[in-house]
Amino acid sequence: MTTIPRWLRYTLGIILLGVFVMTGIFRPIQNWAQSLLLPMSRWFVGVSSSISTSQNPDDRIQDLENRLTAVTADYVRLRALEEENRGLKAQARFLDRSGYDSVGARVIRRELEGQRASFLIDRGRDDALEIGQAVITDNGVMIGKISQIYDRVAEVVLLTDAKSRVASALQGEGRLTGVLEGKGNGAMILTYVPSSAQLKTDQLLITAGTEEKVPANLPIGFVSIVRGQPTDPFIDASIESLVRFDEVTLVSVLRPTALAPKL
Amino acid sequence: MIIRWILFLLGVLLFAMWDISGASFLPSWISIRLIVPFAFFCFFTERYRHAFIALFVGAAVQDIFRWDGFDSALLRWTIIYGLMQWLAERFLTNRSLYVVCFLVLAFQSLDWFSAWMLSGIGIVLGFSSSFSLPDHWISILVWEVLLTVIGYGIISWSDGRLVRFKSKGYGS
Repeated sequence: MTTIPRWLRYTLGIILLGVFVMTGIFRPIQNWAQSLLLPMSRWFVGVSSSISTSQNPDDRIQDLENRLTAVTADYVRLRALEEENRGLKAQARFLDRSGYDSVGARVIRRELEGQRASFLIDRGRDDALEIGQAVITDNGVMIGKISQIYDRVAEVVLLTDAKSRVASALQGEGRLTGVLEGKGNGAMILTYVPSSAQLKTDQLLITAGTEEKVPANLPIGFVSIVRGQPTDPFIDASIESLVRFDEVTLVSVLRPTALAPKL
Repeated sequence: MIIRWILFLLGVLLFAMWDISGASFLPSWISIRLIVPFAFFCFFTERYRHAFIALFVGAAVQDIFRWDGFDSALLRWTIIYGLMQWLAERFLTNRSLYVVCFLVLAFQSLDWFSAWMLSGIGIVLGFSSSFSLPDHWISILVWEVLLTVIGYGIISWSDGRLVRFKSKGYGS
């Protein structure tokens, strides 16, 4: 009786494993394992976040940055409300009226390397999340969109990821200005801006609201450098984010109110 | 025996979860990952089965939380482990600390290379996103080698023999 050589068994095993993995047979096991490991994951995030926070040498600067972000976000929100003649209202009410509600989530994995910028959050299909929904920080600043979804977790592609594209507008313009493209390594560029647009440094960029699952008037960042000649059909600009992605641990996902689970 | 295996598996699972959820939230210079040094620690104490299971569990946990449809750590790590074992059995019979460090570095380099290759194929087929080498890749390599050296040192000390820090040349 002939025996199969060890190397051949090994190779066949690997090929079989590869086929199983790529056909998605393991997807139910993956969902189940994610649910099982989520508590452990949250615990580790808590531990390492506390270590990371204690390493920060200048908490005061961080506090001031956070306050600036919060003030900017409030300013944008108030300007948006003024433009729409709705008067002052709280963030929650704004979300209610705009037809969105938010669901809080914790970041359980962070990937900020080169061209990639993504989070894994502990909310998924079970919480009525969908691909393309906007993800914001607790200050209301948009940081990305849901790109991949599982039962209990979801992946968020951040605005600086090379795959990210968001329709954007300048604060006060009230119309689509350009497309915000992620360039990796923490960089974002506003492209396809008509040269007739009055683009200046320190202007605030917000979401245009032309995408189905992304509401308008979510603050994104400031214009830092404008490039292009007046003779060019389009100009572009570098955008500086309002938040530091490596310090975000809690986020909210905006979902249409119709999708919110009925209690 | 069973209790020992359960404790081992639990430990490996904790290490793997740390690599996913813990290490990425630390500042880059102390982004310490545990599963690869631990597996190689087992490998060089000739507990091959333990080493394989550690890498298998580590890769499975990675795939559970980051699988993008094509690039699978389970697949890559199984192949690389086979390659490492084959390399160690045939060519690297000297179990000096240099060899340990070389294999850890080789494993990590092969891991990144294979991830880059698979994600490249995945992009062509429309599955995955592009691979990027971690910004702090040097600190990852340094920590992995350092942890392996520490583990190797501890086991040698506990066995009552010293770590051979350099291989003996011919005629010495």
